[in-house]
Amino acid sequence: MLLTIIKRLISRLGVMPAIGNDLVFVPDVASSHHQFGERYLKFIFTDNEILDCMHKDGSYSYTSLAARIAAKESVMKLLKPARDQLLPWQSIEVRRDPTGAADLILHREAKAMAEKQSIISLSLSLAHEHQYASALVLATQI
Amino acid sequence: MQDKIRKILKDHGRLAVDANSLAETTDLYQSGMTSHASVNVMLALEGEFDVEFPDHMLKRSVFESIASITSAINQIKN
Repeated sequence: MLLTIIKRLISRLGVMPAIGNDLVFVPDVASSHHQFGERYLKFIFTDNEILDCMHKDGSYSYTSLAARIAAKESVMKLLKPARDQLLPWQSIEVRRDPTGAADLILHREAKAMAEKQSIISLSLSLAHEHQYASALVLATQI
Repeated sequence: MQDKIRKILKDHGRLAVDANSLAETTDLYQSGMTSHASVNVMLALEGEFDVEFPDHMLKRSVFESIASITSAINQIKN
């Protein structure tokens, strides 16, 4: 009901929402890192994201990494790349704004796809509980 | 080569079905492989076959079936 009202309101304003979400099992991320090391991290994450998820002792917060994967997958679900279209993981970046809130920045291929789909803004919400991390992304299209 | 690919899919693909029961053209994503699992599959393939997937091959169509993976590896090796 609430979603319907929001959709009607947004529709009257001339914009349309799109939603992507994803859930990641945190131990899968730890396991991937243990098996493939830095190659795994550098394939998926930007340097900023890797630093953001690193503890002071040099170990990683797998929960934070998993949440970022969930965010990237959520954006992929939103953008729906064709099977022959490139959408590198690093072209979708999660950054913390000065208040500490997580935000999305799109680069290169992801940015071009979003522009082509008339996406004017993305909102991100991350959550984690025990062994799972999730993300919800709301896109506004005109 | 396909036996090794099936073993990698079994170990890293997190498929909902037995990798040995898949037809060559079965869609791996339809069989439960997530984008994240496909990264693990790609990294394991690179290690097993001593290849590096070039950027232009890093798309869904290359990793969507045993046949497409086989074709991509043969292409890189040649």
